[in-house]
Amino acid sequence: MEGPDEVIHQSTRLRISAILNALGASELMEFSTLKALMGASDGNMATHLTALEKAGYIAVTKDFLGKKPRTRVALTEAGRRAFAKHVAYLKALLDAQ
Amino acid sequence: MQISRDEAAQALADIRDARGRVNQLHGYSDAAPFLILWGLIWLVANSTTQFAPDAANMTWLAGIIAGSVLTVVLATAQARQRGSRDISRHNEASQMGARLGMTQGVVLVFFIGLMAIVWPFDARQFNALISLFWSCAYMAAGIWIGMRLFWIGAITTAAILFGYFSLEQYYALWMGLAGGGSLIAGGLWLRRV
Repeated sequence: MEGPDEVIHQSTRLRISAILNALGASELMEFSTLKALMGASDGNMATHLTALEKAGYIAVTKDFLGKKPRTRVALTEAGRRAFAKHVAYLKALLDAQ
Repeated sequence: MQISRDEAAQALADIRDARGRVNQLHGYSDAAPFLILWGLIWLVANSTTQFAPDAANMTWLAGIIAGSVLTVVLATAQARQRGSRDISRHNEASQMGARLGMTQGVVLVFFIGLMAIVWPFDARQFNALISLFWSCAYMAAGIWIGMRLFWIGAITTAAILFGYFSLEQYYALWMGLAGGGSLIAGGLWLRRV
């Protein structure tokens, strides 16, 4: 059995990954929507999104909607694979004991 | 890194909860335009019934036909958007229009049967029955999609019953403002995260 993914397992990052994994393959989520779903502060979100981005698990897209700046995030293919592996590890851990 | 059985169970519960939140968000954003659309139709048609009763039947007929067509168009567009996001759902759009058309047919048969059974009735009773059917349908849908939709249906149901039993003379105006208004406000509320 492979070990847990240390980047994903942290509670906030796990929930961020789970939310983004529930989106469609090409779907992006606005930062403000993700923050509201998480009930987290800007600073807390930025810290954990940066950690996920450094690991290559999420992609952050910045653009403009009209004149309004917009930040959107999505799980990358590597992120989806890592998340699936981590979930499989958690299930295996429960099944094994 | 060691993870205990309890931590693993908690993590899986958090994942299920997160998935549920996203599904609810999608459900709300899908339902919102329909509530706003039908809220506007209720507002216009009921206000016409109150202030220009001669034009009421024509306004209702036009509103219901326009609303039914727009409902199919909106639902098909939403299904197409879901299909473009998720390849496993790309066939949904082609089936959505036909299914919704058939569902509207079933509802029509129900109301024709209802009219035949409970005849005679006046326009206010018929309006209240149809409105109550839909507000209760929103409550039922809310049980599955999310409690915001349930409360929108519940508030609309309370408004219909209050108007029917307490505001005989101004029932149509009440239904336009309170019934249609609660659907429009509810639709806008669903668009908020």
